[in-house]
Amino acid sequence: MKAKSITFLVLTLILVVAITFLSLFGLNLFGKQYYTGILQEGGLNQGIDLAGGSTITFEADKIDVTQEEMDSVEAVMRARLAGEGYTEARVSRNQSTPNRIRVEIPSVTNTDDAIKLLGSTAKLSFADADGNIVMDGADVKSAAYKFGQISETGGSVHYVELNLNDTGVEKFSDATANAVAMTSEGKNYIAIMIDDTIISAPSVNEQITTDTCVISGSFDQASASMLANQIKSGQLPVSLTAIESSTVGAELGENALSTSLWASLIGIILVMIFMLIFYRLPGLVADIALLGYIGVMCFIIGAFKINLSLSGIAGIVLSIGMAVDANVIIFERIKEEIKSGKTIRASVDAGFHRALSAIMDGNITTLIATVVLWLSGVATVQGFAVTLFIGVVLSMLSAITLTKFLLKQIVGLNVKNTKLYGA
Amino acid sequence: MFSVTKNKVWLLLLPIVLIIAGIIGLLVNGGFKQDIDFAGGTSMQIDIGRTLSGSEREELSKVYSDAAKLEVKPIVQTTGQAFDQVIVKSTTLNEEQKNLAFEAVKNKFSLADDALLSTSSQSASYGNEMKRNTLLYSLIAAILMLIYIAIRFEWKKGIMAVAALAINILVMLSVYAICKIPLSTTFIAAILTVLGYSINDTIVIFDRIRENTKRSKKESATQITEKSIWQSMTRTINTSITTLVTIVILYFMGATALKDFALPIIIGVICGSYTSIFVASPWWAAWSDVNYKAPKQKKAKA
Repeated sequence: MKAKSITFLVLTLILVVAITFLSLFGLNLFGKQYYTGILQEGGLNQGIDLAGGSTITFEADKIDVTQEEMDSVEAVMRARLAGEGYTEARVSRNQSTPNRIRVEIPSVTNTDDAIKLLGSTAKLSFADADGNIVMDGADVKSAAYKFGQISETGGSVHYVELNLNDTGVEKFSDATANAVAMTSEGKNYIAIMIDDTIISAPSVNEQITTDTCVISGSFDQASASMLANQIKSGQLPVSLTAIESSTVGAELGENALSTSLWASLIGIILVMIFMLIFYRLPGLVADIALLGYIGVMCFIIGAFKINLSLSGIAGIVLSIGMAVDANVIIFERIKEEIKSGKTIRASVDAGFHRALSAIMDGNITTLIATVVLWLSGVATVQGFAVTLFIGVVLSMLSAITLTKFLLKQIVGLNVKNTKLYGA
Repeated sequence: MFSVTKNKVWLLLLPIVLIIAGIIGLLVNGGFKQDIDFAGGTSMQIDIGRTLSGSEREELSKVYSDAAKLEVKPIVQTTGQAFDQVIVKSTTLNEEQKNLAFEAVKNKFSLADDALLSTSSQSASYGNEMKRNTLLYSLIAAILMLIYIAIRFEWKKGIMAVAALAINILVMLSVYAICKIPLSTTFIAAILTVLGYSINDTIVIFDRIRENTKRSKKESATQITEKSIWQSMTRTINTSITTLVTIVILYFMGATALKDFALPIIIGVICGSYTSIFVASPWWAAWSDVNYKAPKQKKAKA
């Protein structure tokens, strides 16, 4: 009995330490990386407030925007972000606010540029001198930024070269033919407009039947390449307004992560000491369970790539405090049972049994609050809700399984001194 | 021993006094201060490298508003681990105004370019929506909890638990009103957290009352409650202490953004334990005993 208990205790301890080590530092065997721990490079999905960068929330100007329209907005935004090389950018939408879209771009700190890139409709249209639209974005196959001479006499400029599709070639050929026909009236030009603003209005001297067409104007490299990217990605089906934007410098984020991790570590150690002083042997069990809880929590965050922001860290820290609550409730109950004259084995059984209803009811009400928090749709609040939810579920499980299992092994060791149970 | 149930009126006075002080504070200060995520505007966090005096902050505010051509002077708050940073909050600025304002501050205090730690902007209508949502979601959470407790315990306990929560939130708001801390989205998160957390304390005591009631049907609710409160006193205090330890450390060591979050939770957790022990339980007992008749002891003896 005793030997069996000791074996179980040692095995559990090894397992707990192994999980914690794995989730923090990863698994690297013989030079091959099997799992990346959250303290390792790339092991943790950091939110913008930790990694540094910009967050922008856009809202459609139309109230009754459809799901399809927002789907296409999202697709266009992703394409534009990819076009600018922001591969780590995130685009997200929330069911409770269907007309909004949130974009997070790490390492970009100029939000106005980002808003221009993502928020402008980029509706491309070609009009004749009388204002009739002769061609639009749907007739363009692709667009590319170029630098060089576009006329024989001018110098090198930044411009956007459009590649037209078959219908585009046809329309453009018709339009240029018409323009040439109106030369006598001085109407031999075609206006190229982005979002109904004329970018350029080149004059047409002959019918053009090729599949390329050039947009020039007062561009610099950045604005020309952005326009090319926008045209290539397609126009937005609705116009958008940026209702919220924020920027965090990378240094501030890094600082926030390290100070918060230190704060968590110190918090954990103090809680462990408190439990040890107050509850002795059961306290030690609670500390092992707490370590296991932290290990599993870190593993879930790393393995499921949960996006961790500052508010998420706050949720974890709070859940650590709450994780031991269940243990406190159980141990107090065990103390009472011991004082009432029961044997230690009976006291432990009764303690778990009687504390269970309070633990379940308390945790379920907390879970209700976290679900409501998540439904609120505010991004910072949601990060908090997710980690707190996971934390509460895990801590409840660890209290009623791991703590119970370990404490039974301790009872199996036949420790009779009730003082060691804090009684 | 001190009787909680007999002193329930006195014990209720403490939160009420705090709430009244909060209302007076509100009247004196002319309403709540609102952070930019509620009121709309732009905030900029700048690393100055040293603590600014009151008059220096005044100057910074003037330089900032002159450069960005603002009608209302921005608010300048000291922040950071060593109080060596400031947060400047103003009406909404565009990128050009932001640059001008930062340039002006940079020149004034001879800072480097990377002194600009973060900026954030929010539209006012979005802020209004957040406020409405806070109220809505707190209400939803409270109602759901009331239903849960009504099912698991009884409806009177549900109402008392929610009443205690309402007192907690009012006290939290009062502290914000008195200390002139601006309300923000982190405050919403804090309120909802406290809603979820402090109900645990109430449930621990109610659970004990439920158990004790099953054992002795003769005693009045007041007697059972008094006993239950003292039986669960250590757990209520210890569970709060373990949570407080982690949050207090987060408050003193954590990032600026986390401080705003930790403070209301600290207040809420303390207040939550207080109202669970000293308000929800004794007042539930009093309510439950309205129709209670003491068992006729003479008859029992006879």
